[in-house]
Amino acid sequence: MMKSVYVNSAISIEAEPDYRKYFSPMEARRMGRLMKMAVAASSEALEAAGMESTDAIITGTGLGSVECTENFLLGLCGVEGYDMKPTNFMQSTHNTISSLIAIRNKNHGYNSTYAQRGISFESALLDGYTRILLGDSSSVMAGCYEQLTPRYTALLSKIGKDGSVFRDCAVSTIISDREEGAICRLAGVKLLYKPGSVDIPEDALVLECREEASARVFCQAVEKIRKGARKVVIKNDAPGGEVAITILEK
Amino acid sequence: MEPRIVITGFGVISAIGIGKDETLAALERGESGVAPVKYLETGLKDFPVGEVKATDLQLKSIAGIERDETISRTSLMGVISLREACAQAGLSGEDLRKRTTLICGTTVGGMDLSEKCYLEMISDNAQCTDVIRVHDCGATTAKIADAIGGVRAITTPSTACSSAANAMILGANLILSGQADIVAAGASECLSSFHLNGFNSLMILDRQRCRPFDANRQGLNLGEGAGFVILETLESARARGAKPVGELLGYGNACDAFHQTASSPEGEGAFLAMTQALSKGKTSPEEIDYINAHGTGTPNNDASESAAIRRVFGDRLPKISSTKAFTGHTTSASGAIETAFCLLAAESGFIPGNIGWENADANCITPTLGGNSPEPLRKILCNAFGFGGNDSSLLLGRFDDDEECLR
Repeated sequence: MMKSVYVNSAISIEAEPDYRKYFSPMEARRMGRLMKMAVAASSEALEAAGMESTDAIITGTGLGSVECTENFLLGLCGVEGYDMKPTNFMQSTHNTISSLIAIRNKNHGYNSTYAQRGISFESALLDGYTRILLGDSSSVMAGCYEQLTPRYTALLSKIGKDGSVFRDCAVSTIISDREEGAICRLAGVKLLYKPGSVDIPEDALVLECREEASARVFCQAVEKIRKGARKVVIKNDAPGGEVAITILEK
Repeated sequence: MEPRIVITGFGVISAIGIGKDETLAALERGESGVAPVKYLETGLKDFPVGEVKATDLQLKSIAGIERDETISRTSLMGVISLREACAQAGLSGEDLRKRTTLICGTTVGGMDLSEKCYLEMISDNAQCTDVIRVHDCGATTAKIADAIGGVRAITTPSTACSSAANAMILGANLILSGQADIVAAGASECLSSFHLNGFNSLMILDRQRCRPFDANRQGLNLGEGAGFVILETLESARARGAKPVGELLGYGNACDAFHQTASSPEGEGAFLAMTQALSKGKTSPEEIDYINAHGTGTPNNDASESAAIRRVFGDRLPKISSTKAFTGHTTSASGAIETAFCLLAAESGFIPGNIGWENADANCITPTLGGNSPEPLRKILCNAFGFGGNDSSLLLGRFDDDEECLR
């Protein structure tokens, strides 16, 4: 018997918050902007869900810390003012966000990271959703953190994508098997690649992702249900051919 | 009762060979693929590496890809090993497009191409635009999917050196929850100057061939390669007439939550991952016939992993080896390549050796130098641990059709 999955909180950090609430200035100096935003979003999501921690931490990030990757690459290319610092290399790996959150909270639970362009968030959400369905985790923090640099944005505009594959966001959501206090039910997450057509439930309000990160649209969908919508479907038709369908129900 | 998840095909490519036959032959001969840099364009030549012995052009020819196509070495190796796995599993193009989810881990992605033309890429002219499209991890998986004629869905786990193991864990869970029929799970990672310099900046590369678990070990050698397994339920395999070649009996994923680049002295994450894998597979430690250890050759990893193994197995240790001295550390791909080694061991009865090991270390397990096992290898643990404490362990089984073995 599969369990039901509920959304307990969904937080999108839109502007840089006052970080002193989350960590000391010393800690902050060792973290890039992406990491700081991720820690802030994850802390807010836990607080909104009324939880101290979750059984699993799963992150979606298409590019990870682009800033660190660029700095290391510039060092590799011998550009003056840049060198191949171990911290830049370490933070260039995508899983550094999930593991930092785990290290900060001493969380030994399931920990994973997905990097699938425009559907990185849904990949993380699908993993967490499945773990709850199967009873492998009771609660999951699924997040999407993306922080484009001017340099990377310029690269994307060269190929005419305007950054639409990777969009800035810092979103954390807590999903769990706990109905009490939940905002809505997560009724399904489906990934497809270059499908001919996609079936969308007819009785739902459909939100399509075009200019926005799908994780932020997810937060908007949760808000719509809070305000009375019965069923919301997020259709993320990502530019590379990946498609993700997320279904939320009252 | 949970359905049994069987493996109906697997493929592998690494420094010791392209495909299963070359791989098993090299393991049996004890022949390492670690050598001075030959194919990688890099200024850093001081360290031996485990390169796949082919140029990008040669790999394109093997993968059936046009010579002028912009595709990373990561994708190329992925295509070759995925094709091998699909052929053994008897998957048709239609099976792939309609029923198969591709989960391919990577961390390096298309960095091998980006680093060659990065300064041109960020200049004002319009050079290297094709490279931008294939730079990231997700694009690497999409390229593999396109090259094999399309699949139903794709995603890319990126948990550094445990990416492949985590691909299999997600795949198995998608099947158990009825959200996927067939999953091609694995990973691919090519050598890049970025990666090599990155590990050098952490000062954990050995100037000689690595010696996991040896008292005089100095660090790891980087390697490259790819591996895939085809996962489905036993029922699905039977309905397709596919012959299972192994079974995924259990798996565990835990976070060491200790340090971004170091493992805890007591190996908490590794201990939890192995314990979970055994528990999920309803298997006691005494039933394990062989452990393919993560065993990178760094002083820290090997001591931490040894501590964790001792916590799980006490003083009754099974045969243990790290195969990193054969292939180098293939990072994201290591869990898939070593799963292939475990399946070859289960099939052949030959345990690959921890080649190059000479001196016992009181803080480490004593590994096996390899050889034919007198007993069949029924149950095998395969460890893959990543930076940030992303520790995973897979419990693999020889496929046994005896109904009494049903869990």
